[in-house]
Amino acid sequence: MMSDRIFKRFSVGVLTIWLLVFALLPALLVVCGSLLIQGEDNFFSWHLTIQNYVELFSADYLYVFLRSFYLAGLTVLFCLLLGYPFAYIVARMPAYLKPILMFLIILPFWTSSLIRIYSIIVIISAQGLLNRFLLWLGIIHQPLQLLFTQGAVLIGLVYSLLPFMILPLYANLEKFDWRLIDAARDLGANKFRVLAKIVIPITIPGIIAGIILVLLPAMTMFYIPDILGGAKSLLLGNLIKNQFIEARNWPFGSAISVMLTVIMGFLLLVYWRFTTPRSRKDLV
Amino acid sequence: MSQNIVEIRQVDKSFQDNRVLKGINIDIKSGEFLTLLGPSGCGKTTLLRLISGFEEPDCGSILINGKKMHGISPDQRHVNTVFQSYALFPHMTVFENIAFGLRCKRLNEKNVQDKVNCALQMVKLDHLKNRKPHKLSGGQQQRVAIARAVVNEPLVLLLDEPLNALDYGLRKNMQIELKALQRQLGITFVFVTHDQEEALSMSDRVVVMNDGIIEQVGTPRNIYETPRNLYVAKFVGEANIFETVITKFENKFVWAEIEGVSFKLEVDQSFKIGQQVSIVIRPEDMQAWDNTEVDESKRKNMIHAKVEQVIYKGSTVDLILRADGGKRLSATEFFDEEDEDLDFRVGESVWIEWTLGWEVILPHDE
Repeated sequence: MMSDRIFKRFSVGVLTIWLLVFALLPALLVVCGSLLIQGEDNFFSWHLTIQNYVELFSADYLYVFLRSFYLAGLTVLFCLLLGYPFAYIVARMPAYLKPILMFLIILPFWTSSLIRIYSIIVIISAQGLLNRFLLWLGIIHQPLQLLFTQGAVLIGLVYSLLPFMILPLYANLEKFDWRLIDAARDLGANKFRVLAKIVIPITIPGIIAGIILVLLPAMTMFYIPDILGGAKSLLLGNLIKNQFIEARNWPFGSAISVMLTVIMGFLLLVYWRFTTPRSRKDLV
Repeated sequence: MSQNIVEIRQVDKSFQDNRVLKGINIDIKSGEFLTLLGPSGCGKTTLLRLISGFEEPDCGSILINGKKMHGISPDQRHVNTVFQSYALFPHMTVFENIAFGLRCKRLNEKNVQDKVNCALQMVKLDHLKNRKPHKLSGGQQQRVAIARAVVNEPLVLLLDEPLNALDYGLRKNMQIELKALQRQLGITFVFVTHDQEEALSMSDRVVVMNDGIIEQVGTPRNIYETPRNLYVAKFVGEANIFETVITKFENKFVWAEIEGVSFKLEVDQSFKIGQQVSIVIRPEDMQAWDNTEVDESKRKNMIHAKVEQVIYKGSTVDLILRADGGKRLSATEFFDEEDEDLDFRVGESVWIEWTLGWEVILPHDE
């Protein structure tokens, strides 16, 4: 009993300190940093200002924001269109197949994501596997220029983030009571109505969780636009990275980060609004 | 009223190599309360799912209202089901749950409102119509499930062990309510249960199923009092079963020895001398008398036994007895003016008789 309590206190204590030092403190530093200006010799100069935020609302940056949103939104859409049927099918598979299929989803994580993104180049480049295959099939007569386009970035984002959509959807669908489908069919609902009125409404928490898990990384995974989009494709993630690493304007980079955090907070608020404590509990 | 609403003709169904239904034939009459009774795995739920359309028979055919149902999906069949676990839609209110079927049929909203409100009143849930199912008790959920099905005015209402999840008292109440509802609505009910008491008390007819075949179809009384075979006798109610041979057969009477005593029993079929039979006697038909209650002359037509256990049940006393030959018997004694004093003691010696003619003689299969 005694050692149990000591262990409990110890682990809770370690966790608390960890979160304070490595999560809260850096976050506070970023917020503080965003209110300062760039220094001559060091990263920050002690002048309190909201200039960084004002600057964010200039047309150039708003454009980046919008484009990031647009691309992230498309990524979410494709992930949802691919992930939902997949999660649904896996959830209806016999019990012995489910872990194998979910294992296959997680398997690519064992390779560095950077390497996986580079390997996409091999597939979609002008002389790549995809073009050769399509040429061989006779569907196209000229190699498609995919690499270094927005399309390539989209492919990379969807590829990298699909598991983050599938996992919460699967967690939700796995607990779905399939007898409800029988009940709805019995009451005269056709297959489309069953999907629209029963399956999708009940799995809304999984859908929202998936959207949140995909939307945010999609705006910040800077290396995907860097590698697949060439220099043309500037997303929020690239913008932040550039401010910190190239322009050395840490205060402005911090301001963009804070902005992202605010957006994330807003999304969580939406999630909270659309779910009940019960359905949230079901998800974990 | 006596026209058949459902006809099941030579229906076979297998899952993988497991033949769940073997050549099933039943006619379900319009307006009747029919119960499919059998142990789990006997195929009764599968039969229900064949009627509702969730399964298709491997061969044979199912007709509902005279129409062949082959290839017709569940949503196109004019039957509704009350599921074992209710399967209420968790994201919808009670009202929306009940309205679901009507809205699928694209009834106008005014009509939907009227019908749902009417159904809510019928199951006495109008005050809870805006609740979500998880905020209801088991009995209330049960009523919603019933209302959700009957509001569509199905030709047949299928009920798949709907009372299983309820506790004893609630279950008794729901049995009475269901039966009353069936009379009031005049809808044909097909009720699946493994509880023989439930089957006997609610049904117009009972279908006793075992291992994919139908053992007997009949009224509850018919099933209980004249079981067609040993399986039905054992499954429906308790029974004392005596294995014996016919020693004599003479115009409508047979003689057979039970526990060393020869009995002359009236029969309406013919028997051969030496034929193996099982004689079934229900515990409540057995009367036990103590030594002081019967004299020598009566004793020679009674079976002698010792009391092993006395189970007091309020309105009755159940006795577990051991006959002299070692056979275990059970007898249920009622308190009545003939026998007010049911004061049996363990180890006591008793004499057993039954009202001759109430036994059932089942010839062994050849």
